Amino acid sequence: MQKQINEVIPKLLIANRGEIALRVIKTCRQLGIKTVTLFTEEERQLPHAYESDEAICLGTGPLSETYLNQERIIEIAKLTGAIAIHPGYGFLSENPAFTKKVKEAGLIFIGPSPESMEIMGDKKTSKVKMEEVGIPLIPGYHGDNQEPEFLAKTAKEIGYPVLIKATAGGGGKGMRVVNKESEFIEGLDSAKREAANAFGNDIVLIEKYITGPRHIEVQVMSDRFGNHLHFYERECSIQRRHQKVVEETPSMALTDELRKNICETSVAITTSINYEGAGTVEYILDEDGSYYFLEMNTRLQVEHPVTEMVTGCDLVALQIRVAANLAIDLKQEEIKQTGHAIEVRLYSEDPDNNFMPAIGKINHVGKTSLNDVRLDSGYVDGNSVSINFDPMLAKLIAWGTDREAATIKTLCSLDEVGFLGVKTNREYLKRILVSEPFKKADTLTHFVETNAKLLEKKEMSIEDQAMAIASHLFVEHDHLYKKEIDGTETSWSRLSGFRNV
Amino acid sequence: MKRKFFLNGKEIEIELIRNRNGQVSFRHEGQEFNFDLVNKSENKLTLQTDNKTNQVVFANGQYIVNGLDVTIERPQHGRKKSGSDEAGHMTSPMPGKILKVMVSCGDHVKIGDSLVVMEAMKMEHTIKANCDGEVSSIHYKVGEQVDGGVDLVDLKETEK
Repeated sequence: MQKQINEVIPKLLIANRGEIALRVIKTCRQLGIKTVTLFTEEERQLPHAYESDEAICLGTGPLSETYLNQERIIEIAKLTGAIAIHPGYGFLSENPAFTKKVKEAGLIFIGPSPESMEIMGDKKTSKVKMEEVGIPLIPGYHGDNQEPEFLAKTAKEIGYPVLIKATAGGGGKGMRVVNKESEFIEGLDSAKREAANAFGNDIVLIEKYITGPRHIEVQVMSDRFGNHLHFYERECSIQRRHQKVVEETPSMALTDELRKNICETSVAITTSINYEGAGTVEYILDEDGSYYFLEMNTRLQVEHPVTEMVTGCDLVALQIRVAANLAIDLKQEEIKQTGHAIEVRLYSEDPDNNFMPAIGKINHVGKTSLNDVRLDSGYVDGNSVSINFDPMLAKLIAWGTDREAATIKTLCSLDEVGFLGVKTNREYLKRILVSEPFKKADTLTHFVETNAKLLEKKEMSIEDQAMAIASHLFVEHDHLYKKEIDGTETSWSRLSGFRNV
Repeated sequence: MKRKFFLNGKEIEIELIRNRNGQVSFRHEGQEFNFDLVNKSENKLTLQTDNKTNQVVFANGQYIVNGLDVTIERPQHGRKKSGSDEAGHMTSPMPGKILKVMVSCGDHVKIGDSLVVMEAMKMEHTIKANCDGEVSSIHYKVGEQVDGGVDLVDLKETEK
């Protein structure tokens, strides 16, 4: 009989916090694995500090002394008898040095090998590797030859439109989009002048300009026995400040053939580097259906739930299984996508004020009531949101038989999960989901900027204002007089000593 | 009877007609409104008006009405939104740490010039001048932790 996961890993330590710590606890409970979590002094009231079997306080101090303190975390694992460490996402999840230390300490790291992390973690080495394997990269020229004639010829080979970028550049300076061959020399001169002025360096590179960029990523999972699987794609184009806000699967921009190609390309990648564990390969998809490798994240991602909702798989369980040196007993043909899932991320911030982060105390989180809706929240009623951690409070994920159904459920659930007490992007998320561009799946990576006007807060109607006032009056009245709601006088219920005759 | 409130920071006044037995009536912006309270639990109200039923989620003076966030405060609790500083005073939007101070006392700045960069919630925020003027005092130095809503830089506004 095959060994059970919890015989190999009876106890694991979660080197993370908030909703992802709770996510891992949930799967561990289902697998019969005991959990150890960490928390800082100010997080004592947060659920990840008490939902595990054992919890160790890391005290106070900067992240380097708490969640990023590699030696301390390994020491705690050994002290508590944890056999494995799950790094979550962010923090130490893609740190090869930490992975090596964990192995040296005789513990199991739930994730890929340090070698995989090193190759794919660097933008340059990963692209070199991808070129070797024949994976498409954004066509471009990054060389030393700066002769205008040569650059013009290169641009023509790449294919218009092209983007001329100052290599020393940043902040959009020294960048020019050139749409036709006849405009190239002028664009080049202009870009070089601007770059020389801004950075004292007018070296440029040429890249194909992606006009309708979408962010498409593929979930991959590999075990140590040569099984390299994919769990289909996710579209994550709606972002602000380079952080994702809305994610969904399947992507409306992929034809069946394109989906097959992009997923098989991803498996070719994991096979070529002998990957193990969970990972995500990210691509830029252009309007004409061409896609280019961007980077690979060698960890579990925040938006993994949408994949779980459409495939019915538990990705955390598979991660732990692989780390326990067991084979994934699933064949690629058995993994199917059913229906549509949308995830929205609730951040403590004010989208109507430049997405300025907010702090405060959460008075009421709320609950979802619809079927196939999931709330992964790192906070419960009464918790304080602090400045020391990422402003993401929770993820709300809804599954429906199609995209419209999933959208309707998400909109309804966003009203049930109010997160009252601290300013959040809850209302803004609703504005995104009811917008015409979203309904038409016109979700390009500059969605938030392009539709800024459309997504602005609208003046509240007189009727809605009146309803708010009425609600306030009812709550106030109830608080002042403590009346019973069905309208009967409370004096009757205060009487005692009457016998039924 | 007139009642004043701050609704999302804006002052409004209603004419209250009736408020008892789970029924309220009032006049707002020239229209009369009537609502019945059908149900109330710890964080949810069910109201009826014109045969239409509405659910409102609430906690501590904050409400979600028709999917929209509303904060209602009574007049004595109404306060200026923290975003609007008095001219000449730049305050911290939230607690954090001072990363860079770009000006010195005596510098002349124009509205929109960057004065201080602070870090809060793993992000950098640039505090800009809200008027033309001369820097009269800088209250914190690089590396210091500050509370939210404190004066960071004072400017002596230039006479127009």
